[in-house]
Amino acid sequence: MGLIAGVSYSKAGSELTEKELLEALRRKDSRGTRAFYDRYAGYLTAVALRYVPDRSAVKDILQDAFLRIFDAVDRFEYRGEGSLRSWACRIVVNGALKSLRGQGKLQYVEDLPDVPEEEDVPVQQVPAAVLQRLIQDLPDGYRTVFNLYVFEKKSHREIAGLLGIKEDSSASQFFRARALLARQIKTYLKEHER
Amino acid sequence: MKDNWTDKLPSLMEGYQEVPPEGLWDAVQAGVASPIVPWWPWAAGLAAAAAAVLLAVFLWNPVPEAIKSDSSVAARLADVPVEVLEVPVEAPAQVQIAPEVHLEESKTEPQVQTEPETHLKEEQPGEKPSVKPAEEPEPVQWIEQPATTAPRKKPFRGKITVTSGGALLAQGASGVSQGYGIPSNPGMTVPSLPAVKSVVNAQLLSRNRPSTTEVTHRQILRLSVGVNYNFAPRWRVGTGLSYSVLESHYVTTSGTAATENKRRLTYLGIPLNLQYALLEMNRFSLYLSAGPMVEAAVDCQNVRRSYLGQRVDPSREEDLPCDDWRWSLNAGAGFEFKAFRNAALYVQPGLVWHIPGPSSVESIYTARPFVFALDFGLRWTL
Repeated sequence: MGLIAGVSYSKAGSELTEKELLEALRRKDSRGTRAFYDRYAGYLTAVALRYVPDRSAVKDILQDAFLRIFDAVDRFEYRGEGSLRSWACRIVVNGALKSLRGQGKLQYVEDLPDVPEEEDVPVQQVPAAVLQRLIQDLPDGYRTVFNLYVFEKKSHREIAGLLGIKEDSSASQFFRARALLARQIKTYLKEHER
Repeated sequence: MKDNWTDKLPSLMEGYQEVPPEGLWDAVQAGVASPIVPWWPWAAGLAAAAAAVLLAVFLWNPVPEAIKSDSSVAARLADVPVEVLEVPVEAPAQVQIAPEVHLEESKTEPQVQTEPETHLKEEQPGEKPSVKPAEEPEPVQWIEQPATTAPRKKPFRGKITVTSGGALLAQGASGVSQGYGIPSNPGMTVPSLPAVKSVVNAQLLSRNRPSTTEVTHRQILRLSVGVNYNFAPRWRVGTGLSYSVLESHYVTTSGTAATENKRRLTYLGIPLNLQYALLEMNRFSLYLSAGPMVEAAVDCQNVRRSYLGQRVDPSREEDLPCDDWRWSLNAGAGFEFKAFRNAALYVQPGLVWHIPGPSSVESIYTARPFVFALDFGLRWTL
């Protein structure tokens, strides 16, 4: 069950399986593209906003991503339910990284004081929308590395290759991001304790 | 485990969604009609197209440097006996020559004071010319004529001409006018005449003979860059900058003499078009276009060569008076290919009506106000 932050939008085509959706896309059927959009636009918007909090920039990223998806769908290899969404997500993430790189926002600050490690962070008590906002509040470099490591399951070596940084730098950025986020989550929970 | 809580995040946010940015679907739909393509094939294609256009224009337009071939004109004069002139004649520093001095009646003798010895005796080709040098060279006086082309006795007639050098099929206008006088550069003031043995001077000796002028105008070729604005579905308004090249070829023959003029005029224009898309399919579009355009002549050149029998003067390049402004009404059907998301290459054949008006230079615009034109270029859509 998807969570919608804000106004609901059309759900046409939601009853199709991914395989059926893929076949409709490959037929270049306009109803297929609309069904794909209806099903994944919200999710992909959330993914893009997790990397790039600016909504106007996200619109460009998503427009470009949807067009690339429709254009390259013939080359996509279906590997079971969920693989289409994962593939679409990777395209959006690549677009987001490209946008960040283009804006010169992938700056990695090394001089920040160490943040003490937080353990036992009750993250399951925090709503997804709040988690999204707290991740968005991280500095650009921290947020990017954190997202790639946590959500895209990339290793620090892969992240280093993607972002053009050292592997050690990726690891240190991640640990600082995690510590910062943990502190923010605890602050949030403390403020919302009853 | 320190990583436990971050490991939970993907599953916690698995189904999280946000409202897509406003207008995203419309933007995606618009993009589907003109999908993203890799930039480099189109950049390469555009460069190749530009090179092809430049090559076509270069091949199509061999005029300005020199008249390269005189065989056709010389061939016409091949059978005409040639008599060598040995008469030194001092010409005035600046002579106004009527391009084609048309006389209404052939029997009418032009009011010209000339030295009688300078007439060729063509009736007796075997004899030596009875030309004697004047003891006291006197300035030659010529007919005072306005420096404009005299009215043609026959209207222009259209014909199809295929260019030899380029890939373009040119539809021009050609015509023949007949009259009496000196084959010269129509509508021009020529500089001082060479004095001795000049073919130009020799031609002057034929000024009382009937003359024939053949005129060929090449098709108007127009290269444009522009911008369009879609103000309603299928409707758009556009403007830009148009570069037009006009070429004309004049051959005036009179007796043993002939003059060949090749003229190239360049105009820059600003069009204003209203367009309606008849058909839009993926990246292709078929549309109708109509609107006015104002043009200004920016470069007017003429290359001239004179002949007397088998003798040929070197070609001479001249600048023409070039202060011409033209208004025209254009209508055509175009074919557009959206090479980029917001830019398209197009070819637009159409008809042009040039609003008649005074002009300092003769061209297809003045000779045939209603003509066919081929417009091609690149335009952006806002």
